Amino acid sequence: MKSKIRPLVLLCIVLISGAVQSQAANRLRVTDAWIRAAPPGVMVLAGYMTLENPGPEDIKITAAESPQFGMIELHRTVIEDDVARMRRQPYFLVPAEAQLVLAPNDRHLMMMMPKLAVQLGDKVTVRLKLDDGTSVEFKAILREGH
Amino acid sequence: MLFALAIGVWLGNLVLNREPSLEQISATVLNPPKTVSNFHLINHRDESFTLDTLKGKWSFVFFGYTHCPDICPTTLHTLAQMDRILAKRPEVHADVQVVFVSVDPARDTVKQLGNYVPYFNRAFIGVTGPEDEINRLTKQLGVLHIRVEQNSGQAYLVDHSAAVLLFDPNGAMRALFGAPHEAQRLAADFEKIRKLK
Repeated sequence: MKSKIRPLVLLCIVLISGAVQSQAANRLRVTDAWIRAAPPGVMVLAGYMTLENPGPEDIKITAAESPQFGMIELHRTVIEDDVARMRRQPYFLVPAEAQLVLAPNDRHLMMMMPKLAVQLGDKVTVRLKLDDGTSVEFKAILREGH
Repeated sequence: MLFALAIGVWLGNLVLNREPSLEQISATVLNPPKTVSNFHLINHRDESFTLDTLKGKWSFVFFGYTHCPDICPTTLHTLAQMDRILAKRPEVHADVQVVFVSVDPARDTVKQLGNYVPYFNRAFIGVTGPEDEINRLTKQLGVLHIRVEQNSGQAYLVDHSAAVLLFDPNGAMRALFGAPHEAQRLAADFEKIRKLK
């Protein structure tokens, strides 16, 4: 009996998890996702993208993770009086029916402790977690740029 | 006909060689240039880097650190792009060097800089050294850098000046380019600044 229930439970978990992710994907669209390629040995990279919220309610992104990085934080660089200050952000807000662009010298994902050497052209899986408990997963390409 | 051509060439040379006005330059130009006293640092090839190393060339100098994932690589990419623009004019490019000075010498070892700086351009020079020697240089130039402790992934971040400084071939600071940087503007300003008397 026990052996018949376990696969059913697993199937339910997979289906629910898939439904939650697809619900989040409908709420938040991620495009032009890229990570700036860095020299070997660099332990901190930055991820950039365009986040689009087509819905009528604001969306808060509260965290991010990737199987290829030990830790990801939400950060923002602010340049004031010619001094660059980078600070961790508690969330990124994507306003209703609007876009939020993560771009160099501004908001970005700080991606730390790459687990394997990531190289130009690699596609990295990234998951953004939203404040309603859902998440959206996408691929970000490693490329040069500024 | 020949006379008209000669007049045209003469007028053209007059315009090209005329000293540019400061209004045409978006960088802050220091007049007179700011002289600095000597300092003793090390480049990414483990060679001495002092005031003398700045002499004889025009030097673009940026202060940053390799654990900085955003503005530092962004600026180094921009400087590499500027270098490619200048390289199209060998007579302008021949006496130019780009220097990245670490404001995080505890983590930016010679080896770390050796992996990092040439990635952006093989000719770029990474510089590190004892903290007091780096401070000796930054204090003279008014370059701010403050360590900010973190309770998260990185032990600390460093707030730092986002400006690119330009030194003349006498080793004196001639201009300051404020952020955000744009390669075409850096190159165009530089060509004007080097013509200033």
